[in-house]
Amino acid sequence: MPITFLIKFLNTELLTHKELTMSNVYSAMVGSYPRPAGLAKLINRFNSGKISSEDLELGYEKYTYRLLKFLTKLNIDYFTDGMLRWDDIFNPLINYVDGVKVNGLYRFYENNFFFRAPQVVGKVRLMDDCPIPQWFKKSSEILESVIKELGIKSRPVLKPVLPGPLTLAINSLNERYSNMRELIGDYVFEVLTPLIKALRDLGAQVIEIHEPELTYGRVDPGLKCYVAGLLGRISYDLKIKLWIQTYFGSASNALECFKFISNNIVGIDLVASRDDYLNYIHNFSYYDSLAVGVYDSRSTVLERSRIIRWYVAKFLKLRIGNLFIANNAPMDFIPEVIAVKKLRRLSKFTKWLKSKVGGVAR
Amino acid sequence: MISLPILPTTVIGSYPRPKWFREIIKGYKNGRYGEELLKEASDDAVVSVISDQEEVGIDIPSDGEMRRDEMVEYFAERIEGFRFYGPVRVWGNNFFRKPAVVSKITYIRPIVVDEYLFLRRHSSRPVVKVTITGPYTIADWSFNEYYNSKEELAFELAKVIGTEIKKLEEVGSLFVQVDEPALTTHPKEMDWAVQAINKAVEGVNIKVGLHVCYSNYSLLKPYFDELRVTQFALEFANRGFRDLEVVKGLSKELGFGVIDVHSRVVEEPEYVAKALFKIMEYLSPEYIYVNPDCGLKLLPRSIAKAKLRAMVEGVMIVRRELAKKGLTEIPLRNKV
Ligand SMILES: [Zn+2]
Repeated sequence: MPITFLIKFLNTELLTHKELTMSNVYSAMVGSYPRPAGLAKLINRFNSGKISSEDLELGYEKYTYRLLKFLTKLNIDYFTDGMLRWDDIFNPLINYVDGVKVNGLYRFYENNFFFRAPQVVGKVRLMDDCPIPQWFKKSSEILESVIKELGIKSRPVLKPVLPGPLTLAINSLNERYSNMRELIGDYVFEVLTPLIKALRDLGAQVIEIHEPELTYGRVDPGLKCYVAGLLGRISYDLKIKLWIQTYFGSASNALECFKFISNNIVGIDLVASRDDYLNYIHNFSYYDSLAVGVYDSRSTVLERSRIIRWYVAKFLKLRIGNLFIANNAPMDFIPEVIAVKKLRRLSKFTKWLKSKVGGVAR
Repeated sequence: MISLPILPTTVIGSYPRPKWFREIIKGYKNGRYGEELLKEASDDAVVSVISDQEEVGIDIPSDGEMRRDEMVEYFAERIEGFRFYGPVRVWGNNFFRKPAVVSKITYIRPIVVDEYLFLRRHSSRPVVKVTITGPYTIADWSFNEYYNSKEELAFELAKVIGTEIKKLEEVGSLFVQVDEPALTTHPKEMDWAVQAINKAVEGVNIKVGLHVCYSNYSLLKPYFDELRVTQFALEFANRGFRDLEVVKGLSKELGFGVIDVHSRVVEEPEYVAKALFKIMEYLSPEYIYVNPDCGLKLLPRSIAKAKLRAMVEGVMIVRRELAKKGLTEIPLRNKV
């Protein structure tokens, strides 16, 4: 096909369907933002006793302010605070869980990235001094000041992030529980539920739960659906929206269990789903909310908007209530300069898309 | 033919940089010292760490990889086709400058030949070891913006690495170790990854070892015969000498990892000897080299040296037993 024709085709395909206006379109950033080199340096200086914890705290606040300002200026509608205080999706949370010791380094799925594994030696229970809700409060205050400073009217949504119970359990070195469901249950009710409650009470509208294990495909579907059922139940019981973020695997591996969380926001990694997505995306028809991860957080190649347009067009036909255009996974795997470029592109693309199909303009 | 004492002792490659050398590198990076001073300090650092190794009795020393900050970065900086965008996190607060392939991979000039020549001039041992990061690991630890697939990239890198190994052969190097820590991390890619390594060593007539660490060796075992190397340098101390049966029936040499490089506790010579007696139940002593699990660079220098000393003393215990059976030497094998 000649390239000019292809471009024409891609442009028109998106615009000739009346049903396109069905979706509200939003831009979103999920997961971590690459820890800036300056912040990493401060952390090193703190670890070697050269600066105080107050100085380090000021550093965290400064870099959080920078990031939130950048994201707000880009008109990203939903974002995290970049998880700048986190080493990986489990740490430091597992430092604040009774019954868990922090073990050695293990590979995080197929990445050249390693996490400190939770070693479960007793009944798991969240400790009272877990600072994660306070960090959210601090980031919310910083965002508040950014909004004021920039004079923004419609406010972006800040999402706190937590690891999902399945991903936590599967990546744990379990020396205590004889049965996986029991461990998952305790992670849900003894660790995540109190955190979610605390975050909700501090004003969180949406909580991002990372569950790569749902789509990675090494556990049986029954267990995945059990976990999805639990997540659906927490969301209902606590009256809070969860953003269940999957990655590193095709969404086709979790279609069954997405049904249990379809009142929430389901995040899929379209880059990992690219080979077969056309076979199954009709399953997302009439979903309340879907976040499509089209910007690849594991590659330095910058996405061309033409290609993104082509993928997104397929989803616009599905009459999804709220369609979020996002990155596909945490951004620890790329350098910061690349993350900046990708977020700029994401912002620009979504702005353009909103101008075509409606959606909530900011 | 060159012969070595039975159970030759060696290192995997890296060794802690002396403290004074780290200070000079820091000064160089922030502009306080120039290129010339850095070069002089690098040379002196290599001489120091060769001396550490030889003093404790290592048979086959390396240059401690004094000149290399990181095993992929170092090669990517010296091969055309790469560019660096910035640091990427590996774990916790640890980062590495992950390279990106942005144009055709091309061999420009020798990468580690000078390292070898310097080491050769300053070591008193007949055989020294040069390490080279393998094509698969370089491909796996890089972003690929240029080639259609990681496989294509790995084979292009294999040509470059192959050229370098042949250059080393031309200038007289006797023993090259290819490092492939990533080899088993994507099991689905192993078939072609092994072919890429074979491509890199095609037509090479000197001794080539392959180092793979912190990996699932049961994934590697099916490729033992197919890989065209004479030796596998594997890590066993870290795993408490479990999985030894994996080398049962190995028709090549084993570089047996007996020192845990992640622990600051110095092993007892008897502990090393015990591990050696155990591995000899699976493999003939004439096919065993002895080394730490992996590079020593993360340890304090004094501990690294003490660990090597304990390793050599442990080997001596076993050598005395083997001498009673008349086993005292093995040939340096280029083929098995
Ligand atoms: Zn190693």
